[in-house]
Amino acid sequence: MQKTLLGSSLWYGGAALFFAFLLAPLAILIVVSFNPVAMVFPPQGFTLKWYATILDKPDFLQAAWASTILGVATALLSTGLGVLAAIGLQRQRGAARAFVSSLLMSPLFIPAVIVALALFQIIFMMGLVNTIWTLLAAHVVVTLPYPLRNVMAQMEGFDVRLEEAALTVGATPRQALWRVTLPLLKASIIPSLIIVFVLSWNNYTVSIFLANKNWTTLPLQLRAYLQYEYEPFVAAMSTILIVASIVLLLIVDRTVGLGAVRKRD
Amino acid sequence: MGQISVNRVSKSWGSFVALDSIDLDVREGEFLSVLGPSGCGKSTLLRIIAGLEAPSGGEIHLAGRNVTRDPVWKRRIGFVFQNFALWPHLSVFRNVSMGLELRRTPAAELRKRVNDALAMVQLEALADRLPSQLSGGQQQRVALARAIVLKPEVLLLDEPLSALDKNLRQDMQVELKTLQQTLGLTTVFVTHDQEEALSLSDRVVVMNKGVIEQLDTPDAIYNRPVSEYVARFVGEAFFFRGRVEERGATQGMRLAEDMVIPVEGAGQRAGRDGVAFVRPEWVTLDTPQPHGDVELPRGVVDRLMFFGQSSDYLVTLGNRQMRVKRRPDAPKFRAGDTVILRCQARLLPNAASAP
Repeated sequence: MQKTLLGSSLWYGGAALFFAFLLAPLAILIVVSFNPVAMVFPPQGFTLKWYATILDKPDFLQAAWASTILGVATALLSTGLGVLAAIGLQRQRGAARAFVSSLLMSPLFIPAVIVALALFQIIFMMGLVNTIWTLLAAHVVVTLPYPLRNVMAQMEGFDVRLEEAALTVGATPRQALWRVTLPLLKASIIPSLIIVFVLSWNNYTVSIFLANKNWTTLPLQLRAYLQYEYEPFVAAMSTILIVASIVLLLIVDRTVGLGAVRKRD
Repeated sequence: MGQISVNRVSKSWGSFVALDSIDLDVREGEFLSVLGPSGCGKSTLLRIIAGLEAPSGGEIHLAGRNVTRDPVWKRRIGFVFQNFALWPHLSVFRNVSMGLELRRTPAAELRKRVNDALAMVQLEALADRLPSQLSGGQQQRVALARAIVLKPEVLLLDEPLSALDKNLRQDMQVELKTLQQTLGLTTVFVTHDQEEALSLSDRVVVMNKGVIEQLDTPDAIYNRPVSEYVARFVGEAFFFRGRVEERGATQGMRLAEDMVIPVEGAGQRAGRDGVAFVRPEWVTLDTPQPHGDVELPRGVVDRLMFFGQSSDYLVTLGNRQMRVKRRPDAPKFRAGDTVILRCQARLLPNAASAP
């Protein structure tokens, strides 16, 4: 950041907008979750009862469980595919590489609702029904760009001689992958796992099209509940989602650092 | 058949020919250097021997077995990369032990062999360090230990010393040679540094544009090169062109109407045009005498350069400049002096070689 008047006023202006539009509503939501009476601000007291009521709502517990399983499965699958794609793409040059990587990255540039609608249409046309598998596949498609981009960024600086050295001491290509390449990509794989989990855990747009009754995720459950009830319980539930996401991202930052991918190069 | 046998090996990428039908036998226990400028195909040859690159044609035999179709991991080779290629996430010990782990070597034997290899390169004390905590010379030693711990049939070195600074490089040359001799390892050493190649090797291969120009002992490569290219690449050379003449029992080369230089070597018959060369240390300078040596080449001292181990005269001969290396005694000549050159130039066998 250049230390010019324009630069610093943009910086502070941006920061102010960020607080006003992103953090302030979240902060209000969190405060409201401790309000004993209703979804109003400022609160008229302090209570934790809304948090306790979660335990009385089996729908929410089940949804939380569904979201967790889906998130973990998406994280593993999406990151795994992202790593494989990044390694494969690194060995290609020219048009094929550019084409395939933009194809895999495209969910980043297309509105999520359109991706979801397209997937829904295809699944419908193929005569499939919404199951955990179609939901999982959809989550993988929309999250794949993140691990792909992370791992590719780290692969840029990767020296193939490190793999070749493994081959010269008797490693098969698969052993070289497990013993040399993947451990060296850890700095981009671990954050990818967590980021994909968070994205999947929070995803609403894709899930609304493709989830079914047995696999209602937490954001869907929350939205469904909101249609009939408007009480601080919803704020409490949202607070849990927010805090869980923040904690996970903090773990990433503390272990390998959110900027680790770039610093490594 | 030698320990390494390269038969008619070629490699091309599209229309670019990196190696053109190379034949090469490396004897058991031999230290062979492959010398050439970048792009001459020397690294490609080494990578093909290792199996890191597949040849477009030809065969590779290691220890009598045809390994042409064998992947790298099935060949029993040790390879040292130019940048060492140590695994940054593993300790020195694990870097060296990886090959043994892959072979499921029992723990006790593994520990002993890794420690032995580290002892051989004087790194036992640093076994727990990460590569990033080592100096360049130490990293080089780890790379060597990693290559020798598996008791390979051949040791392949791809410019392993070029990443080190000069003093360290000279120390490592001695260590490398000692290690190689102690273990009796058949070694192929790729380098673009002619001094390194000459000082370490039993034999030297000089490569040019994918073909072997000359394969011989360091002495023969330096003193009896087969072409201008080799003469130029392995040291400084000054070339003479002229007609070879019989002069009693000796030969001379007439450079001009009144200038003849004594030559030796079975390059050309009398009466034919030829090319001869001298090395800077083969020439002595003398003060011209009024009546003797009328036909010897004359030059004018241009400048004197002091190097400690030698004093070099730069002498202008016609419109060319040659270097004459002398011991750094009190200089006999000053800039501007006219001198005669006493030397025996060596005829190149191949008169057809390009200027």
